[in-house]
Amino acid sequence: MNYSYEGFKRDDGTAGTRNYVGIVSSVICSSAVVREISEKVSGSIPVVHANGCAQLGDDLKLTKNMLVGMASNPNIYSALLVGLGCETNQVSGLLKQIPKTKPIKGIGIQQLAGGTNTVQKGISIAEVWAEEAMEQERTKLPLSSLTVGILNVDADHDTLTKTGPVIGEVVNRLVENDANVIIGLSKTLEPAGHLLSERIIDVTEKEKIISSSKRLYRLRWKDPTRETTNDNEYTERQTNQAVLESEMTGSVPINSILDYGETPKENGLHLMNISSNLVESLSKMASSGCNIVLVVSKRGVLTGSIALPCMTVTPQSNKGSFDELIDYTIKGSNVHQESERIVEGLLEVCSGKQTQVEKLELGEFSIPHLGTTY
Amino acid sequence: MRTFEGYRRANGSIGVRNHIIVINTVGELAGFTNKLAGLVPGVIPVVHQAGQAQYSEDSDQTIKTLVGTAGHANVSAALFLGMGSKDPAEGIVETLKKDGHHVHSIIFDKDKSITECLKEGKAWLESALERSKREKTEKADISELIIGLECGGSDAWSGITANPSIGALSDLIVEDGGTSILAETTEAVGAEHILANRAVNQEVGNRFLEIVKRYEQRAKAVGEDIKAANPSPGNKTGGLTTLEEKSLGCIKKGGNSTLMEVIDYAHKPREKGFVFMDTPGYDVESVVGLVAGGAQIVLFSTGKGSPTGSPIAPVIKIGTNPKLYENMPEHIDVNAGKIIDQNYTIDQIGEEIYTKIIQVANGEITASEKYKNHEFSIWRLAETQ
Amino acid sequence: MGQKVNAIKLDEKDNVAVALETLKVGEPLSIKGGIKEINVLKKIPYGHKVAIAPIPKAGKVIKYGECMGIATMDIAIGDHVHVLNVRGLTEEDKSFQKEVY
Repeated sequence: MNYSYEGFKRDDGTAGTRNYVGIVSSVICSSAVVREISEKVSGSIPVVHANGCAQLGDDLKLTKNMLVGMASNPNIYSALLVGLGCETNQVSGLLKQIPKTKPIKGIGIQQLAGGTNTVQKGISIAEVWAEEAMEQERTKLPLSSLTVGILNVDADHDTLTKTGPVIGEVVNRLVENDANVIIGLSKTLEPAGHLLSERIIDVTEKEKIISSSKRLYRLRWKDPTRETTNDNEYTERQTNQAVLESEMTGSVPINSILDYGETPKENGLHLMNISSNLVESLSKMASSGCNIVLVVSKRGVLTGSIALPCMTVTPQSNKGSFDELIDYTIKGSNVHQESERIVEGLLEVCSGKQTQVEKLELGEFSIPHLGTTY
Repeated sequence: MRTFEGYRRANGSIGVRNHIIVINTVGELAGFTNKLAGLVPGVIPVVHQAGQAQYSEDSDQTIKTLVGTAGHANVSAALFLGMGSKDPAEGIVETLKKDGHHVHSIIFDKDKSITECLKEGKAWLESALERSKREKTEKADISELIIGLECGGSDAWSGITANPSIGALSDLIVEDGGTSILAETTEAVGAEHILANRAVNQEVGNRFLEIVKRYEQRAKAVGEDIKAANPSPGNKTGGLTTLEEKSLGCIKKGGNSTLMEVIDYAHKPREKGFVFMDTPGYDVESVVGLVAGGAQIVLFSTGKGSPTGSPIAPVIKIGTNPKLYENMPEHIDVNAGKIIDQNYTIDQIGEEIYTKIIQVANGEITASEKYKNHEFSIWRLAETQ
Repeated sequence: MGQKVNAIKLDEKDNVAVALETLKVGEPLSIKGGIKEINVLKKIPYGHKVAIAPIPKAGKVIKYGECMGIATMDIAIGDHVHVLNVRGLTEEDKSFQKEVY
């Protein structure tokens, strides 16, 4: 079957499934100004977070990389960076790092002598862009311009037996049609590292996934040097469930393991290190160039990404408290048919159909923490 | 004796504001928290991205901060939004109710649909708002005030004008029986022995030395030597000669009073007088900790100009230099720059801040309140799982 | 208030004052409620320190009423007090100070 969707073609070869003007804060201190600008310019989104100052080492690097990635995301038509002025994470530094393939500007509260001026200036810049974005039309595009994030949220054994094979088939189909797929590698999937490593050719990438498969390897307050203790080794039960979850990754080869807002170097299937925090994971996917996310959950999720449509797929359940948030329910047992329907639904969303979470105007951004602030 | 008009709470504390807030326990609910607040004008959303996939050190700190924030004397009523069967919201609400607070929780993904959750939330907030309008103020003594001391966007003048003036104010508050909390452990590196020497006893002094050392070592573990890197070349150009001098410029916000106690982040002081809270130098996270610890008002010196505030406590901005006041008057409440160009003394500015505190306690709106600077972020300790 | 104040003494015990504007050589110091008849010996940029009492080599430099450093040479009244003639405290200096406990 020949798949395509209608999206916004970008100069760098990528494509947007949405066409937002991104208002991006460099630090929490400018977040109120960013929100105000985006409230007043329709078609713009606020990219706010709690970081940007008093950060050291890898934490600061992660903040920078994720903001550069967000500004570069194909769903963002143009980006306005708003800083305070005295923050560690300087707007000038971000501007240097962001590839010049779209309109990008930076302003600062201290430089413009206060929030009121900054809001006015920001609105005047963003309004022009919003009009331009509005005029741009969707064109027919191949799946090779699509980067689909796949996030498994709260699976248990029962759910995985239903969703795993179907999503695996979706992944195979997308990759076979040249799409890029990034699957979240969280602590629930990590224990299946050995099994997944068999599908990786590159030796370094193989090593990465094997090394994370034994134990939960995250920095703790009492242990800032990543010296791990033995008390968080993955159990047999966790490993068994991870093997079940790994069905969700299909059977195609795995190209690379992504970290720190890295973008895939070539099309195909990639895994991405993520935390088990929904908003942080969606944000990491957005900053790595995804233009849509398929959220697989047993009950639905309460928010999405600020920049990406998040299509929620659940197995059938009788609880139903989140019905208003679900886009697709797997009802049948025919794996081929269900996966085909999900791909079709996904492409409709890519072409502009609003997801349930988008209809409710929900969407967040957040940057994960590797350690503490100073 | 100076007094102010405040809201007396069931647990005996006294608030200088009468806020209705809606607050999330997990980041996933930040959107619905904002949405719900938007449905009832006058309600303040307190949103954050903490609470999910955290190690115990962080989840404990998150809960402690949320309890301190919702149970704050400036809060008339608080609605918690939580998610799932293990959510801490119901437990927090039980704790706060026992202490006489008007609180309620709504748990998503339990037995109600999204629409029902929003409907219930809106109705509760509306009735809480009505209830708050019936609450009356009464006269209260300065000794019931807790003042948080903070700085952010500092410049070469911070340690010369604004911070010493805040120090003079802090000494006045302590003399009048009130409490002031100094924070920002990282900023004390280099002058820790001076504050430790002012401790009421050796135990408090040692505790202070310990928390400063811990932070210094933590920075070293990620490759940053605070002592070797300070004062920076820029600091030296500005006139700072030694690390002790730089740190003194920050800790002098605490004046010359005896250090009575060292408390953990978001903990309430047990002692009155001058107290230190262990917080990062990151101003927003530090202010959140101070307020969760009970500070009804925060003093915040700034040289470069920072607009940030708090959703719960009025933050009084003290500008360090005349130029800042000229350029950004909208973000400054007290101009300590008058020391530079108008012959004012530190004690006079200290008095001016005191007067401002009384006015703000009586209801005068600060710059950060006017512009709805409701920044809220909890000090994070470990990596997200 | 009369004459424009051009330097500030942050504590009664201090032996340095902070210039509130850039002070020229020979300019008289005007410190609120403080000492008169000090002439500035070197150019003092604003925000920098000027000695308002003689500080002998190895003597304490007092600002905010606290010891912020040790003089590495004799410092005369009116001299610029900065990195060329002051060093930070060593652990030894600090433990010596603990006698106050």
